[in-house]
Amino acid sequence: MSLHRPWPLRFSLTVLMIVSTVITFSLVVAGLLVVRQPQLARDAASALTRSAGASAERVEDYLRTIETRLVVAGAALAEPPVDPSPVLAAVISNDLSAFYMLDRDGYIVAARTNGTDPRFGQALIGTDQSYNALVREALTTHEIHWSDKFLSAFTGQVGVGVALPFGDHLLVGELSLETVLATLRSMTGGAEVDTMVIDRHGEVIADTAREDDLPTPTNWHDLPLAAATRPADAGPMKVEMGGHDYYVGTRHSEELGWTFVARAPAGIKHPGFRALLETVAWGLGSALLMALLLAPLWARHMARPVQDITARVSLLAAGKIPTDWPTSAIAEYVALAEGMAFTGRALQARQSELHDLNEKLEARVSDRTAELSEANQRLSAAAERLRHTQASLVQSEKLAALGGLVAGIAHELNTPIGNGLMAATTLCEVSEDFSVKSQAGLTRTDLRHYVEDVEGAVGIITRNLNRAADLVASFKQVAVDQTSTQRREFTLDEVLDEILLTLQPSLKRTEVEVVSQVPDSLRMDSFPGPLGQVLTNLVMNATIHAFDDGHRAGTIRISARRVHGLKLEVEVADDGAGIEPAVISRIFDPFYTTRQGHGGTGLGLHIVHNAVTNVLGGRIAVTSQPGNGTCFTLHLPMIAPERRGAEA
Amino acid sequence: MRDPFLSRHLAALTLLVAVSACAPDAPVPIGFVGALTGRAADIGESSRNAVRLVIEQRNAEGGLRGRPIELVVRNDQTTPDGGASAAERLLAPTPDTILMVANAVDVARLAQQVRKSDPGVPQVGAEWARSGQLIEMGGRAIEGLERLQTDDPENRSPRYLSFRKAYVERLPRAPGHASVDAHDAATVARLGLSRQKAGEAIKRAIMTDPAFEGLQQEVRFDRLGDAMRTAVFVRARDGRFVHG
Repeated sequence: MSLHRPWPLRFSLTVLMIVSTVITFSLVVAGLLVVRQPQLARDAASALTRSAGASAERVEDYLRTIETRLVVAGAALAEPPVDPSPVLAAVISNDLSAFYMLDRDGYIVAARTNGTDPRFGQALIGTDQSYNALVREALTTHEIHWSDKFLSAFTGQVGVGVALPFGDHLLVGELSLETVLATLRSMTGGAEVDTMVIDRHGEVIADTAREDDLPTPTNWHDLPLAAATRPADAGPMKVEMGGHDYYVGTRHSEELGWTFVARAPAGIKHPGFRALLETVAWGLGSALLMALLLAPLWARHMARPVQDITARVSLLAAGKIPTDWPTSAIAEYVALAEGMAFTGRALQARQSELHDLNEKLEARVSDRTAELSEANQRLSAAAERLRHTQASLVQSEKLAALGGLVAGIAHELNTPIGNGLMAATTLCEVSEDFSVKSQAGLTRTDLRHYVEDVEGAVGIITRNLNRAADLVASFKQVAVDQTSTQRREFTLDEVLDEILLTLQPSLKRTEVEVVSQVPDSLRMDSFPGPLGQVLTNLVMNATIHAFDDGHRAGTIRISARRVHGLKLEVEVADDGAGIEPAVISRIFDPFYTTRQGHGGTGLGLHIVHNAVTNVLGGRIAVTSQPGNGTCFTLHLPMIAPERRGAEA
Repeated sequence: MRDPFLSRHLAALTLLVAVSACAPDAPVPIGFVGALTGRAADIGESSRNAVRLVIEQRNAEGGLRGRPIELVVRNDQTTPDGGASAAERLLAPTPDTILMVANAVDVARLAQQVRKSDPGVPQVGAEWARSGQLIEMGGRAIEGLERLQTDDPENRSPRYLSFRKAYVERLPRAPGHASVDAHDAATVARLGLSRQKAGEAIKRAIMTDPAFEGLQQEVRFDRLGDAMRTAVFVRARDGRFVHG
């Protein structure tokens, strides 16, 4: 996980200022929502209750003027016989849609209508209205009474009416709902406050909302009851209309029997709350704007000294000593600049001191270098001499080995040649004997004996000469291989057999037995000379070290197998004394020998190592445990790499 | 409001008056007042044609108790004066019965006018006038008026009684005549919605079992989607409609 690119100071200061502005305002808004909203809701509810009361009073005042007109007409008609028509005509005004007088049985005795054909009013005279709820109520109670919403027989429209009993008669005035609504509307309840009037049955008489804003029509029968039984501390009263919540305030008019309900949108739609939110939004907007304008300037002002100091620190790093460190109104910056200036001066002093030391050091170093190069030259010369010595020693070692080889071969040849010679001598004697006998006269038997003797002798001679010829050929091969590092194709067992043959004379004098377990199928394209030398040295090394110069009995086991690819693994293992752990890491080093003064040159295994790694292109490893024998393992390519130049 | 009520209502109103005749074999006259000219002429004409067709069929089957029926047509010209004149001419002889096919307000007003001149003539209203306002506005003038309707004000089925109780508890008045139909309609809608499978038209869902338990009686939709119910005759008595 990698960190993102570090922010510049200016950017980070700008972000800091904007973020703190936003967070501050968010907290303010949250606080307002928590604290201010319930308060606003309570204010709204009491304002709505006042508004409903004002509307009720206004409508009551207006309707009282209509009642007054009815009372005046009633007074005029109280003394019969009076023709009621002129009285009704005098009292009716534009806001009454019908005005009529009934007798105590509910029959209309006189009527005036407004806005309809006068004949229509006349036609209703004599009709029975006794089942009309308003008429029935007024006739029963003998009191002035305002109706609920009802369908007027005069206008065919839904309206409201007032009935005034007087004497034996009843005066009824009807108003259209539009008139009630107009009165209600003349009393505005403030922004976004609507008022409705509901009758005793909960039906809406008038609602000040615009036609297309009217909430879903419903019956509000329960509302006045809920308002009346609501505890005073229950918070604002809220109702749901047409999917929106409203706060409501109510006022029941005892005079009219109607309930006035003022409402305003609740919650976030409430004008007061919305105004508050708008104010907050404005504040937030302005603060953000100011933050966006001021923050970069301020950040730039704050970042400038840091940038100046950074620039001078870069100079300082480049080795120049600036003098004009910036000043600032901010204490920390001043301290920083002073600190850096002090650091600069200290650095300068330290630098000149270092310079002096450096010069002295350089002089000393050049002295020492001269001494060292002289010693080096001496060492190089010594090493060169050593290399020469080593090469000549290796050469003499090789010659010594060759000498041993020749001795071995001579010894080996001795037997067949001796045998042949003896057979030839015998043949010679037999022939002389035969020659003597042939002069004295030969018997058949003599001839047959002679022929048998000749055949026997010739057989012996031939066999022994063949054996000698084989030995010579083999010796020639070994000699050629050993002295010239020639590359050819051969099988491993063949080379091993030749080597063992040449070693035979040396091994014959020891208690050591060499067992070869090499299959005859392992062909190699390599250098048989160095390989033979390796095997010879390993066998002789084992004889000398593992078996105490051959005085101890034991076995040297040579095995080989093909491993993956064109690779061979050849093991030369003995069950002899083993090698001490302290010694084993050094056995391939040149001139390392445990037999100093006993004829060991310390080059045997070194030559083995060189031949395996440099000529045959392989590796050699050794494992050993003191008392449990030693195993040399050769890893050899079946096809040796091309030689990279002459090798020892 | 500006128009006198006759111009607004009589034009859409068919007033049938059965006028009595003296002679035993004389035709039975049936009066018809409707708009045959003016802006509502098509309603008047189509109504008149329907009535004429029924009378012709009836006459072909032997008429009314052996007497042929005679249709007396009067044109109200879609004007108040024309209507008044047509009615007056038609009512000049005393009618046996007046059948008013009109809404509650018009029937109430007409009944009031009829009662002023003839307190005795039997009056019949159609289901169209099935409203509580008929009584409130008609007063004693509609006493004895007969009406054929599908809701039964004297129904005593437990479903109807419990609905009535709930209605009165919730609102301070008794359910109206249309409440029964509206309740049945809402029941059908609810049933249809509960039966409706994805992608199925609600009408089809309803018609999978077209009979349902209404508020007062079982209602069954026929093949064309018309609701079949049993209708009852009711009569106005003391400000209420009761079984005739």
